[in-house]
Amino acid sequence: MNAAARNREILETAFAEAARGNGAAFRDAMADDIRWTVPGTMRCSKTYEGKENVLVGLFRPVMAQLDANFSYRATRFVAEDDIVVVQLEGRNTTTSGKPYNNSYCYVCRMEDGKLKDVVEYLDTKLFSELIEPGAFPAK
Amino acid sequence: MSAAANKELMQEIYDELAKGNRMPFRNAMAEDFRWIMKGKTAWSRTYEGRNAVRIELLQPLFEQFGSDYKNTPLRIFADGDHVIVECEGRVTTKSGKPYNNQYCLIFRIENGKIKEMTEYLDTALVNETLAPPPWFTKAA
Repeated sequence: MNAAARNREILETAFAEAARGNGAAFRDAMADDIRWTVPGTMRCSKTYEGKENVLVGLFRPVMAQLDANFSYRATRFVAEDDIVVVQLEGRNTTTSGKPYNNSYCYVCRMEDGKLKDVVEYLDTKLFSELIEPGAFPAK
Repeated sequence: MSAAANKELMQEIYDELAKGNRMPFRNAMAEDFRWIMKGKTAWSRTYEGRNAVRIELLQPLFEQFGSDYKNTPLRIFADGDHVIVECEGRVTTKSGKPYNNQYCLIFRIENGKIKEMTEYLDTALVNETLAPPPWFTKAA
């Protein structure tokens, strides 16, 4: 199996587990020194350096705005060498009961079987309206 | 075509777009090209066919631009029929606002033509910077 196929399989497994509500599998796939970038013009748009900063600085405040564990399903994987691009469709509800169905595209760089660098594209308008005010309030 | 050939095609198209030349992109669109723009903006929908892409998306979009549009590729990857292009646009709207969006585009290529593209972008920036397309106002 070549590198692309191996990396793709690792992420297919991690996202299949995440779709079943097992977020631990995805967290386990993250390298300790992962870099996670949210491009764009939102208050939370930046690069989060290291797993702890990603989990505490990004994932935790977002999850706190949802009424249940984060739920999404991968719709396509495209892999070349150490890169795997994953398209995802989320199906979630905010704590105030609004549907939060965002679309994501993760550009992932893998190293030694772990996620080393992720660039996360998403519908920033929807995020800004439903998640950002509670998760990343204006200073 | 191989992944390498598809990647080369998109690399050439984006090298030209970086210089402001949109013709290679236009020429590579299949007649039944589908452009899927993700998100919940006034522009977000699926544009079916090259004519709809030109008339309902590109014409009204470029109508709002007040400077030359340049789009620079950051990274390009390919896997079979699919080519991923991460790129950065640079343009100023006629009302003087910078519209510098970052995109992740997923292309599907068939026989050297672009059959489908799914576009992820900073939709909050679209919403803040661009006016809705004319057909959106009419439909609303």
